[in-house]
Amino acid sequence: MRATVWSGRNSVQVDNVPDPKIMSSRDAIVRVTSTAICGSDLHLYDGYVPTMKRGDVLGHEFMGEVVETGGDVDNLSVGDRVVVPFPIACGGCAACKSGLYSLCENSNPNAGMAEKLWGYSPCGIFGYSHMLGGYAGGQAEYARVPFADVGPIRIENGLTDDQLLFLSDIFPTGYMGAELCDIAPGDTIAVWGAGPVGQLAIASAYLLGAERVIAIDRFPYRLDMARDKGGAETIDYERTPDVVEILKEMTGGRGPDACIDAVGMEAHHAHGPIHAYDRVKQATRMETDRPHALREAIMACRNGGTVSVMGVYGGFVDKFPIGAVVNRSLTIKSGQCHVQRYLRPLLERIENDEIDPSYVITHRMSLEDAPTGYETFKHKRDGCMKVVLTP
Amino acid sequence: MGFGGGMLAIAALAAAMRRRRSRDRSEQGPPHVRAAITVGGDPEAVQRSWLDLHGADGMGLVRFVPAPGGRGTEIHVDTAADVPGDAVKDELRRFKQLLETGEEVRS
Repeated sequence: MRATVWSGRNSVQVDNVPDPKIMSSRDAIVRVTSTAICGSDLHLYDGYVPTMKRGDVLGHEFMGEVVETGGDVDNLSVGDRVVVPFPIACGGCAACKSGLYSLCENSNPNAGMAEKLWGYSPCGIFGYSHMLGGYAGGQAEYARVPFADVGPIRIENGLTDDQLLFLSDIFPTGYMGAELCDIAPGDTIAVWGAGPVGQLAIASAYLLGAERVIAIDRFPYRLDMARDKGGAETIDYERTPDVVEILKEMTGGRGPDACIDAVGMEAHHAHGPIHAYDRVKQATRMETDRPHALREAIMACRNGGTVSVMGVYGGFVDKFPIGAVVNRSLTIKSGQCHVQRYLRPLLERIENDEIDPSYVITHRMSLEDAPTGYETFKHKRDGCMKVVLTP
Repeated sequence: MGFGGGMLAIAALAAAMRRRRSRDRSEQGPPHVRAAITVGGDPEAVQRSWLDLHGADGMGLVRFVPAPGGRGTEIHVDTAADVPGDAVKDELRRFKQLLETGEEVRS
């Protein structure tokens, strides 16, 4: 089959790879009908995630049609249309039973690698390094879905792939980012990063009752979408870099009640020297992640507020403002999204016309054009927000 | 590291146990390898599964302790045997996978 494979830093290619096979009675094979490039795939592309190998099949946002099932998969049948959540989760361990699917204790066969970096291992993830399981991803014609009796949600409505695909990751991720804010009536939520997850965090914050949402980014087209589609107020930090002061002023001196970091490890900073400091430290591997957005979210958050970290970080950051956290009673919440627990309720929100996440799609391409998709997305060319690939 | 390493570790563990039984108990060996994991189920059931899978070899190095608050069973391995700690941990994970998912999880 054809699949998008990682072929080194800043390089992906579409290659012939062996078709996936059922390896367990709880597996299903899905013929992929739509798959997307995630912002976190760019961290792989840019070479910031360790334990990638040349030839690894990429992609963790995908949906399609079940073409084969293992003997113990009795919730799905051949021909079913499914969306596949990006965390691979067994459903039987203590974490899964608590709804913490992205912390599944059994789905990462390379848990020992993750423990060395993070202390304990999270779940395995499709197409996201050997440290997270070494599973082949879904930017391909077919994908093997482990624990198919737990993860995929069967679609029985007439909604389009575009409307449903983002249940696999970015809609639940944005939603969880907003949910972690414990939004109360009157709350103002600030969102760093108006990329796809940021856009859906903005929409989710309103779904969960926020009074105001303020988006912070440097790309006018992204801020336009946050304003026009999401109903957010916006701050362009390249034009007005003093984001903390602006937020303070916008909120009557209180600060946002909660701040969502939807940027992660490759943040930019309007102040050249500060960006250079972290860029050099990251390039020389003295810190793994550039935490500008997180630092700013912490500094901007109101006393006693919550900072929700949904952007992906991989390792260690420098100059972390712990003093602000402690002395101002801030709460930091985070996590890879526990997608399985959001699939049903968020599908219902789409079915009920409360939201149509497809508005983030700006580019549609054939799977064969995945390398162009990665380049376009990485360099934010042509107003690129979200690339959907069709095998 | 694959499961082959884990199986090897248990084999080495068992062999080391057999050697150790024939030695003076007070003899001090190399630094201890300690590893633990928590699995669902009560200690009796977990221990039965362990015996089914591994037999009684090396059992003296393994303790099955109820985890607090109904959190299942803690399996503790403590050995002075010359086995890689990572391999013992991998084997414990493999056992937990078999018990909780019915299979060895593979990518």
